[in-house]
Amino acid sequence: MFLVQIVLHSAIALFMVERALRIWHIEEPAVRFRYRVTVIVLPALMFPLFQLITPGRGGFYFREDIAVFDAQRWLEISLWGKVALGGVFFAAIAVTSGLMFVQEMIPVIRHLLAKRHGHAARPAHGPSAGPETGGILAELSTASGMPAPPVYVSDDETPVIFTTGSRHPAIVLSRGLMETFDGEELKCALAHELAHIKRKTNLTTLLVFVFRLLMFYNPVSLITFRRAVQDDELICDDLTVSLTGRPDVLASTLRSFYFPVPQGRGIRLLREAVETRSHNLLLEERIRRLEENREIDRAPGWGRYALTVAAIAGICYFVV
Amino acid sequence: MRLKTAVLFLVTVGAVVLVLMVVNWFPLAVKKDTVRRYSTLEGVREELGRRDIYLPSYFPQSLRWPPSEIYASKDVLLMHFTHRETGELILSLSQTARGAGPLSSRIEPERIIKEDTVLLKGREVRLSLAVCGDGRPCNKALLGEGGYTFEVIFRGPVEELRKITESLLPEGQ
Repeated sequence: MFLVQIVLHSAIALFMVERALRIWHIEEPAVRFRYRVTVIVLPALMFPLFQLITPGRGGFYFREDIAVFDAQRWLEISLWGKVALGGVFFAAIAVTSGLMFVQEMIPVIRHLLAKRHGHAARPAHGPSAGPETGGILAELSTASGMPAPPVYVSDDETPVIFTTGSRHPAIVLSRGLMETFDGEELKCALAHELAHIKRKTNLTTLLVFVFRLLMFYNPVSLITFRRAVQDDELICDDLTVSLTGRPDVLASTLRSFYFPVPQGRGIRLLREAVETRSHNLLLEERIRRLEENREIDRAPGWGRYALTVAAIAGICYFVV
Repeated sequence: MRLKTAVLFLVTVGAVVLVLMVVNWFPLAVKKDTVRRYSTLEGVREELGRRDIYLPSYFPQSLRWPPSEIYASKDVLLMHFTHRETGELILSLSQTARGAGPLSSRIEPERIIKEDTVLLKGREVRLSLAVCGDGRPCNKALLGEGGYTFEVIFRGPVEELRKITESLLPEGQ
């Protein structure tokens, strides 16, 4: 029943959070990120807390007298007198766990193995990033009030830029990116990575990922984790614009990261096509937002947040 | 936070609770053999078609009739009885078909002091002298009869429990 409750609580948390974001017109990415992280973290914390408050919460009389929803009633239903709905539920959980393993765990394991064998993503002796990059980075560092991280160049024709490491972060950019981007675009790309370092994105994402990992079976966390990562990108876009003052350039820079959708048959190609399409869609959302460059309410709204968390916890207590 | 949006949010909370309640009711409507609460024994007989309900012919004077709670399915029947004056739950009587999962009573003995097997109307009855969480006696009798397992838990003297249990059994064997 633990698994069932966690999934149900996550679904309720997701619904309530999405409604809260709509009702209160919350557009500030940092606030949206906080709400989305709540969907991932809160269900994992609520269940043990509820059991601590009411040890008999799983018992018959709590389910009968107090609960507003008892999942066991549904799980006991058999479809056409043959397949129990509980079996269908657990099969769905198995599929989600499999997806999580294939999509997220295999790349992590590969990365760790590569690191162990010295093929880390951070090239130790890559070619110099050049004086232009150094100059831009120095300028951005002064503006942001943080030390300039080391920059490594990878021998890759595709335009790629990312931040690696959390305690000693570094920026890795590809040769392809340096050849494609002009000075302003390179500045925007570097500013965006500096924003990730300033926000300690790698560390935050890792912490949220731990919760995500604990709930590997939970499809709701799978969806929400991705949305939280997207929110983090939007936060860094805003920080980039505050550093460069050029949302238009950042938008054109982002266009360089569109990938062509692979065509053809086969499960692997299909998966890649879905991934690429999703990546492009997320980029489009970021570009549209930068082009609109609307004024939004940036208030942290802690009262609204507290009310949302209280509502989620209040409802979930009665869902067993 | 504007009042209008706060109200809208609270309405959403109410709607979620309402939907959950409706969704919670649905399995009861489609699944007839699930354990559910009944207000009368006649209701159990009519809706479940059960003609095999065992009732004790002896009840202590302090007990209020009818049962304060009845939970039943095709295989399980559980009744709770309260004290006539205090309203406290003092007797629990369950009848479970062999092989079916038992339904736990609201009165649960916490510590068994002594257990013994006694003969009542020629049947073996497992009698447990026990106390509940509050330290007061809540004795239990367990027996099998006519394809069912009976559990009688009484918050009172063991002699009364014996009488109740004995009166539950039909004469002879």
